[in-house]
Amino acid sequence: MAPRVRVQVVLFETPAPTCARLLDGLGASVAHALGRGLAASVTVAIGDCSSPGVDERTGAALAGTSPLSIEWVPFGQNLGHGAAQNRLAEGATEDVLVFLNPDAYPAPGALSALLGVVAEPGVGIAEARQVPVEIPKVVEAITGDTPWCSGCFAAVGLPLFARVGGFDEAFFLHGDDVDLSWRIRAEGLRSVYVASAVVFHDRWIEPTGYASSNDVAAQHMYLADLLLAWKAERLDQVEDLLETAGRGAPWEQAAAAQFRSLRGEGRLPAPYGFDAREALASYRLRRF
Amino acid sequence: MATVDPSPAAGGAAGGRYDFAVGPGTPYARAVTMLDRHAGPGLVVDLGCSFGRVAEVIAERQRTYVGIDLDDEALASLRARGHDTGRLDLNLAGDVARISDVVGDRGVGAVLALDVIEHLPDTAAFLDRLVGLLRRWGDPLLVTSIPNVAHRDLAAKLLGGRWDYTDVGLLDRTHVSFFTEGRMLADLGAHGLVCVDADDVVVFPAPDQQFPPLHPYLVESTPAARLISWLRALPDSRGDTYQFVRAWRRSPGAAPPPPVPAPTPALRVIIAPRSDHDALDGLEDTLVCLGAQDRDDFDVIVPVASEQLGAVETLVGSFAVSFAGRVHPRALPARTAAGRLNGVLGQVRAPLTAFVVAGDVVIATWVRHFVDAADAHPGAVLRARSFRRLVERSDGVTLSQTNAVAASDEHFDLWRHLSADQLPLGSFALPTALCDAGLRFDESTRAASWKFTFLAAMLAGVAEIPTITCVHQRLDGEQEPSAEELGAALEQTPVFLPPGWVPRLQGDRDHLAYLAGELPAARAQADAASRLYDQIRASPWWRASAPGRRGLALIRARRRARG
Repeated sequence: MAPRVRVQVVLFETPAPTCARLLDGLGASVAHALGRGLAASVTVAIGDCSSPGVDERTGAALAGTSPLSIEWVPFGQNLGHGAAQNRLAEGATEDVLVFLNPDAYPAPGALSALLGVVAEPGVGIAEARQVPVEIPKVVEAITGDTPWCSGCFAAVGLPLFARVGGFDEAFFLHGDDVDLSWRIRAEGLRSVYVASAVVFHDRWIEPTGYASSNDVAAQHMYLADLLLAWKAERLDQVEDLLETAGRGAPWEQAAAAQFRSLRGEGRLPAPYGFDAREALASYRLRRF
Repeated sequence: MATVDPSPAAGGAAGGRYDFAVGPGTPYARAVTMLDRHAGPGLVVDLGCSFGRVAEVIAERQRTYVGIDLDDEALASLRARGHDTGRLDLNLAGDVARISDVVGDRGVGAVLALDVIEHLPDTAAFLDRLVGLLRRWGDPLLVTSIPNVAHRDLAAKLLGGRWDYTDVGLLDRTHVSFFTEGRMLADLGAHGLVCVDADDVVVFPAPDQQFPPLHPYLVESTPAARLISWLRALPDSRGDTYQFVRAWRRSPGAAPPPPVPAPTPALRVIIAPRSDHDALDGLEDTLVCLGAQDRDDFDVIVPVASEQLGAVETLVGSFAVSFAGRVHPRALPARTAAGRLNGVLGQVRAPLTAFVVAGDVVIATWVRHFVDAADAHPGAVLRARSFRRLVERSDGVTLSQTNAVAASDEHFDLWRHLSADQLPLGSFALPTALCDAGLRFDESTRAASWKFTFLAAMLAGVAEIPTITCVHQRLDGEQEPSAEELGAALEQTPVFLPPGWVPRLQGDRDHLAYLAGELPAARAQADAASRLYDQIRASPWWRASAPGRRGLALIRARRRARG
């Protein structure tokens, strides 16, 4: 029986044309999945973390522009990505959750491909292949198994999401998807990269070949590295990262200061309680 | 096509300026052949007939000839030869209407308008009246002969600052309207006339505009003339055509309605097949990137082999209507990728044409970068930075093996482009006018894409976009054309370089000469050193000291091991 699907998007000061593009692509992808009987229904929940006023304008600009069934949830404050996703999922009754970035544009067949794979026995979470810049993480060529799934466009069973406790809200912007993937894998389930599910992710390309990033994003990524090492109980790596940050760029120093502050206040998340050393090691591996 | 000298003297007829004989290969002989092929029974009405030497040839075919002109001397000649005439002015609406009076109730099999239309100032008005007559007469055959103003010699002379009228010929001093093949087809087509036969006259190598003698733009062997001929040959093959001799039929319906003006997109994207046999694997990747562009004033054309059309239409149709409505798959019979690209190059209305190879991926501002750069650098070829990435495909799905293998150089260099492709199609856009001027992919070479971009860069110059906007997928095992293939593709093409190249070429040449001069001395030194080394190794002293060297080596190894 086809699952009932809930697609969740979290906005933050997202320009209306970017949202319109997202809904355009998502609309075609939803129509594809419904048309092929891969979803019984699709609800789109959009949570807006923008400041009051901005969220109203965005909501008004998009009202009636998409045939999708949309739940519009203005939060009135920036909860952070993971927390906002958790709020959107509270009380949800669908079978499958799909996380989608606002700066994405899924190919028509992408949602169908994700739903097909996440429904396979043993699969916990499935992610789409990103263009034009891929995440340089390790992917097993035949099976698609990968150490973690990006939350840019990923599907997970709602009961499983609830069972593992949803996103860890200690991660504000980055790393929450990595952390979620590890906890799902700790349940004995697979994390899978679905090459046939194509999603455009709006990023620029650096001369190094990787996606460009700004200082704020880089700071959150560095903080995520610290939190992941902390939860994996690799205190040696935490100290290494803190020491490196001391000699590093301002955004690295800011991330280290934020971590120390959380630690001082006793607000760091609890360790995993399972052996995440291998996961942490594979997280640091780059495919290219 | 045959060569013909159109001068009156060659006609062998005494009399007026337009008293031409119907010799073999003349427009008049070709017109008669068209009558034989296509005309139904009935009168042959010769508009602007002058002395109408063709009348006798037509009469030999048991047809009745009627000549219409204003030249009394010419008409008198025709009447004296036993032919029917009418003295009427084709510039006057009333006179044209009275041609029917001359014809009376006789059926008309054909209308000739040989070397006429270029003498009339209002082409559209004349064609309106002519088509009215054709309709009244049951749509007989129309045969026209019209001189070609886009003749290569006229182009060369204009470049040399000359526009020389003559008594007769391409630039007859009484011509008031000038036609290229395109204008002729457009004007007559707009009046519902469809070309049913063509037997154009080529006058070469001695047409009537080859003066002054020894002009380097006109003498075929000079570099300047070869360059002009190459440029003139790009848009069409009519550079040597003297007269367009064509047969026409009015189409059964009315003239086609004027095209509905549609908004012109800022840019057209042509998705290029990766190879001749490519089934457009990876097309979805490219389309999703184009669908995600941050502006929508562009459209996309996908040239495909006929058997691929259904699958591509299905894929395109699965995208949101706002994007799918701007993507146009086109089935083309061409067997090569270059042929399919050429098949759609003429269909572009947008001022800018960009290419992307199926499977290549671009950032969301790819179109925006090109459009903005075209505003800043009008007329230039646009080149953005790009990456190449090694990929493999499995069941139509792209799997990256690596991220960026190689970034394109920060700056484009035509010199480097000569030996290695610096302009992958996805990083390249050009003014559509270059395609209108005839720039096409050479279907005879594997280096078609490179040759196309090289010639575009040579003709228009290159404006650079510093942002990396495209990731060019290179399939594992995909072979790129060698430097030799690139060279061979351009061997017969005149090449010119932009200003500023002379010092660079001089510098490179001097550097090579310096290296060549240094080479013998360096070689001699190396040879001497080699001989000395051999002498030492062969000496008794070297053999005798071998145990000592081994001992020293052992001591050094022990020291290294101790750190």
